[in-house]
Amino acid sequence: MKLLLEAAGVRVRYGHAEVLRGVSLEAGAGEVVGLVGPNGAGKSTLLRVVAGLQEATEGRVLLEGQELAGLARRERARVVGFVPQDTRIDFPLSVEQVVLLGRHAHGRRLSVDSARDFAAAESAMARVGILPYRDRRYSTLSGGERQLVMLARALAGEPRLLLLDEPVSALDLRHQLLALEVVREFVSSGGGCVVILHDLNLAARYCDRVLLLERGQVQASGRPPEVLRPAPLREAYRVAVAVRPDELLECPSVVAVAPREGGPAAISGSGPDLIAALAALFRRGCTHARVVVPARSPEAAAAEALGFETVDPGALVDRAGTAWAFGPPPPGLSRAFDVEQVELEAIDALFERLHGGCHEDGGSAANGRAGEASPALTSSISRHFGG
Amino acid sequence: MSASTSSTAAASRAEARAGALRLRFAVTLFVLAFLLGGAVIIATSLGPVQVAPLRVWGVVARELGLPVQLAVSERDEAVVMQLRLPRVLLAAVCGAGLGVAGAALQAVFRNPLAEPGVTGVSSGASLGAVAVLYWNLDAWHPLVLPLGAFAAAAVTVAAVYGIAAGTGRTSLATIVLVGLAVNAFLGGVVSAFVANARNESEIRSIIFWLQGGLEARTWEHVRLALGPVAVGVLGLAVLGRDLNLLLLGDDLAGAAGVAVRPVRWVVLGLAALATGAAVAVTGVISFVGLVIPHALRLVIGSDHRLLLPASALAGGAFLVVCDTVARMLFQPVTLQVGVVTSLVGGPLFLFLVLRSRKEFAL
Repeated sequence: MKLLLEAAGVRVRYGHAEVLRGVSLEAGAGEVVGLVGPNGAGKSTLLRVVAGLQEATEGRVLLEGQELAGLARRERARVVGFVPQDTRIDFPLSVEQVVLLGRHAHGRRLSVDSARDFAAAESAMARVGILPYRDRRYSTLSGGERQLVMLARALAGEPRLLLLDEPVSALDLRHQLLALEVVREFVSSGGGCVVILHDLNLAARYCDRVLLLERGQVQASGRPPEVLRPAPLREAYRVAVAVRPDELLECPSVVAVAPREGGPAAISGSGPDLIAALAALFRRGCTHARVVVPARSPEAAAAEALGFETVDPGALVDRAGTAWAFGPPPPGLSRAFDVEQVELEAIDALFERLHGGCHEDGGSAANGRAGEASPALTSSISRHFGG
Repeated sequence: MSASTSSTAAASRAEARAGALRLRFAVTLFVLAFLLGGAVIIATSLGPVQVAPLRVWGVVARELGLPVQLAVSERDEAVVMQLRLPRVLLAAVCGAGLGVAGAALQAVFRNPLAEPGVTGVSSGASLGAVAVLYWNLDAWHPLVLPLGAFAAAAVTVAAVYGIAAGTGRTSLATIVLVGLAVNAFLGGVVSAFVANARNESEIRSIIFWLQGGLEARTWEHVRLALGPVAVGVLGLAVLGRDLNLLLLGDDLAGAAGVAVRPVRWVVLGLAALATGAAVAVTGVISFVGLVIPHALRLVIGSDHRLLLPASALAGGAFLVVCDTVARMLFQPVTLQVGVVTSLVGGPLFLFLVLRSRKEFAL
């Protein structure tokens, strides 16, 4: 695979704020690389750096093996097609005129668009499906239509590397798929693409590799199933995340719920009841739970898909099928699910174990709180479970 | 087989579209050049002493050394060459400068309502001219007035751009806001000069200058304005492609290979040069730089490769017509050309805005 883009150790500093802290990114011919991560993680900045719009404070960027900084502007523009988030134009330009502007780097200063330019523009508009409104005014288009025009504009320049910043954020279901199919087509004919996506399910379906960025650093990278896992996603986005394999599409499917703060709670059960109880915990916004279930049991698989940690019962207590959830109080859970018994001693023992462990793995705020909250546990549990 | 047929069909379609574009550019520019030429000839023929348009053409052709044989009297030649042509050509030159500067600034500010005055050039020129008139410096030599105005305009623009660049923020809004502040300040200074004028005639000459006029302009004035305006018009016309991309925003333009900041400063500089030269010899003529590009955009679109030269030609023609109206319509009362551009430009602009709302539902 030919490497089109190699960025290594990219740092960007604005004054005191460091937006990118040593990020490396590669994109080869024939692959779509997805950039995902929460708002303000530095995704757009990284894209601007590799597009040559933003100078990196440190690090180097190679485009087809050549230093980006050493390339002439127009040379760079012939290699890279860039699509920023939303582009508004307050002047009466037709769709075709906008797409033709993608040919800028191919023309000379005083030249008028050639037949070659028109042919490239028409082919790009046809691929994206906007040929029917080539003569409409750009300013009268909807946000989604504008995104398609901008994608066509980038394609019209016949670049080898596409850099797309949320290209489908305003598109409807059909056009999201259509636009990403166009991108796949582009890479299958030898191009490369780096695309920022907020929809993790689209990233799972259309990207060959995914980089998860958080606070200017790469938290995880690799094939979608390697990156799109509950733990790193929960860390990055601070939400409760469930990831299940989607059999229809044969790729991971991500569901998130808003996290809720709350004291620890405990539930117990086994089999489908426990799985349903865990799902109920997740739906209520529980981000952290330790589930005591035998390894490789269906309950353990369900708990892991929800991003909950599993603990083998042999290590702790001899009762299988007991769940402790540290996070929000699950209101009404005791009524919804039959909670038989809560073993306070076992919970305390578990807390101690986890409290020690959470310093080792860097410990999230919720873990720390759960540990500190242990003296209050009894009352909390008795409130929720009437125990 | 069918693929190759469809690709040849696509190729010929592209060929046709490219050809149509070239034809549209050529026809538009030819029509506007013809209008400008016609306006110049007819404007020159009109006046208290009528000279038939054909005779005007004869005089011009002979001056240019063209092999055209037309009977031309000495009187015709004196009227055309001494009285009318300098004034008409000056109107054409200044209109061209204002038109092209307006079109370029609207693109660079990405705002169809920008006009050449935003850079402080007009208020700077006003202050220079008013100072010259107040202290009667033009009694020394008539060209002191335009040169003083031009110098003051240059200093003002340099100050506005310098302050804007010095803030470290390179946003266009900074330039607009600095320009606004400087315009307000200089407007106050000009008012102070007017309020303290020593006699009626001084006030009169100041007011006349502030309204913009082309009375008693000579070949000297044409020579003075022609160079800077020509540099501005040609320089900006060459940047049409870059301005098209700047409409899409700095990021897109930069990624497409435009040197965004250098191009922006060159455009701001050239626009100020053309405007400054025009305002220095005519006084403040409002609306040409705003209305002409706007009106043209509604008719020929926003492709600056065409819009910039077209704005120069149409701006020239518009100012020639307005000046002729100013001279002729209310004889013996003559109006200032700046007054006429406002009187004609205002309603024309309103008409275009209302019409465009109906058509495009903007």
